[in-house]
Amino acid sequence: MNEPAIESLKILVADDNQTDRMILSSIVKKQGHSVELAQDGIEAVEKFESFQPDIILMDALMPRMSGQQAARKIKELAGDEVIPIIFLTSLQDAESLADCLDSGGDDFLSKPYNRVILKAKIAAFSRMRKMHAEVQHQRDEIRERNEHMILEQQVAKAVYDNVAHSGCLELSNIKYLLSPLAVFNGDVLLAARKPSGDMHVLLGDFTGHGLPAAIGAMPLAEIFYGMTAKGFNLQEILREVNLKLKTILPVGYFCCTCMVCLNFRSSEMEVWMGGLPDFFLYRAQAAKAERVKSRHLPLGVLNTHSFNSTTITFAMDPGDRFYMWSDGILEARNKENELFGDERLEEVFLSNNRPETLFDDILSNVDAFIGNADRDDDTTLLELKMVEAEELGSAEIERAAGSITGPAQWQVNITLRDDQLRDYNPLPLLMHVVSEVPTLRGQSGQLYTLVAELFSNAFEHGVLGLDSKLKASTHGFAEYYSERAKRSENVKGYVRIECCHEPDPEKGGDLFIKLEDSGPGFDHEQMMSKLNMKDKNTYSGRGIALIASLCDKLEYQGSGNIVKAQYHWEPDVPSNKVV
Amino acid sequence: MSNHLDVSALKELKEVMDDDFQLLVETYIEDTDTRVDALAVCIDQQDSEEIKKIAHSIKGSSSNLFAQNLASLCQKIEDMGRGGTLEGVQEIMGQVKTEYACVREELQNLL
Repeated sequence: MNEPAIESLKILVADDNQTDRMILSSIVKKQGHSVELAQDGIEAVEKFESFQPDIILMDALMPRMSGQQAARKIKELAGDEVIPIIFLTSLQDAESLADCLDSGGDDFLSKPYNRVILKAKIAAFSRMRKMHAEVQHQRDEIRERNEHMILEQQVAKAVYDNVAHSGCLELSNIKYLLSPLAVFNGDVLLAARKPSGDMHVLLGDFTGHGLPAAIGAMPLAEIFYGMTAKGFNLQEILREVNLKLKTILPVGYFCCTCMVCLNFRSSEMEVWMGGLPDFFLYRAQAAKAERVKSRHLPLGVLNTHSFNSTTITFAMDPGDRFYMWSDGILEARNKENELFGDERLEEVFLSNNRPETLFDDILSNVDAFIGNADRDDDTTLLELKMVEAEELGSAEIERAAGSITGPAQWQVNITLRDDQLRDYNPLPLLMHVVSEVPTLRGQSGQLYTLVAELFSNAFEHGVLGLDSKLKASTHGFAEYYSERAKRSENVKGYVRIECCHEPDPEKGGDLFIKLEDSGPGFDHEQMMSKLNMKDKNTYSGRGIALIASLCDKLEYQGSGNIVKAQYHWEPDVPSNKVV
Repeated sequence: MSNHLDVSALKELKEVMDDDFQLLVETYIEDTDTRVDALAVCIDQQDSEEIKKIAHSIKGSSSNLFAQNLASLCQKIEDMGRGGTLEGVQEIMGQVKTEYACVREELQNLL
């Protein structure tokens, strides 16, 4: 068996005794290494820096600077690098030997020098150095990979944030807790207003962690925000998301989801839940919590054909709250490794009598349960409060640039008759059509008000024949609404809505809205002239001043039962000409 | 068979050192001549610190040239210097001188 060839090392010999230096130098050279000599500690440190030895043989007692002092200095200079120092010594007492080790010495060699032992020691330290270098290299590589991974996560996070942003999570009726890197834990929390003012909220929990979870979150967020802004309803959005996730995610990856639509005008909550633990709906009046259960499989499991988007609608009162969480809450563990669990969570609801503290109570109960153990980062908790529609104001729909649908010419006619006038709200449909024009999507709050005012005039004053003067007094206000309810019951008549868009490739476009009602009309000429004279003090009713301020042109026709409004829009970036 | 030197170990060292062996022996003798004289002076002056250092030095190089008796005598003096009790040190110094004269002669014979 061949002995492995000994690698040639650079060895520094530091000894004040000339004969010792000569002997060591000869032995080490004979073994194939190159040698540098130092006569004392100071020289040893200097030679360490200039010669950069692999191993140092160091005498302990030397003039000017002792071997121990030199060893300390050298270890300090070497930093992360391992430079084995073997002390050459005839010292016998344990204290001196310990001092050699304390100063950074790695081994001893006693006099008289035995070349076999010296050779073995040099070989051993050479192996150790190599192993250390390998570990060092791997450590650097791991550190580099880790930095790279964190950088990638940050980039992915930045992209995700651009897609997902925080939506309208900052609104006053929402409280939430979400780890800043939750997307990599698989938790997703999205909230956005529909043009109608309704609010969509989605809590998603993707299987897995890291990139696979984040990859699914991107299209989920994009579809959620894009479709919500266009006025699509919850079921349509869920179908789209399910299809997308089913298509892109590998088998075994899916998203447990709860999606909610809060309708503030009707004070209702529509819920779809798939694959999540029970959530709680807290009734403020009764001080009771109702369980809301998952009735579906998670998103991304079933194909479109089998997918069930059926929702449940809950009537809510202002102040009622809906709570959602990720499994981080239920699976929080105490020191005995028990889970916080569903029952403890329900107990928080049962023992609470101040709904405004519930959110914090849940968190503090979880914290108290865990004790000293740290709460997991991936704890997501959300509280949604039903409020009066006015509390949140109108929805500001962010205008999405870069839409591929350019300004188009289109016309939509809707005629609502009799019962439909009372039961069907044409506004979401109209806003949905209007938002096909990208720039108008950004102005849908204003447009919504315009269309809503025109419609309520046509219905209430036109078809129902209610006198707007009634609303002038508090007493009349109540009378107006009771009369409105009475007349609505057996309403006969129609409102015809005609909406058309005329694009102008250079200057944006015009939206024309025409409403015709079956009512007798009113003296619109007198009203318009008063309006033009800005004689608003003598003018009352029909909110026409407001309507006129919202559009570019307002015109009444016929007996006053026909109204035409023109809404002009201009692109705020140079428009790409449609060829 | 010498009582003063381990001749077989020295032969091995001679092999390792090749041509440098002569230089090594000459250097040893030159250094040790000086050190033995210096040690005697320090003992006269009762300078414990210097006694310890010089004895340590002679001990080290003598040990490396396999002059074990000489190394042991120097060890005794070094210990006395370290302990600061110099009683009887003159007597051991006399033995060092005698032992070194033998070592010196035998080394020179080896060249």
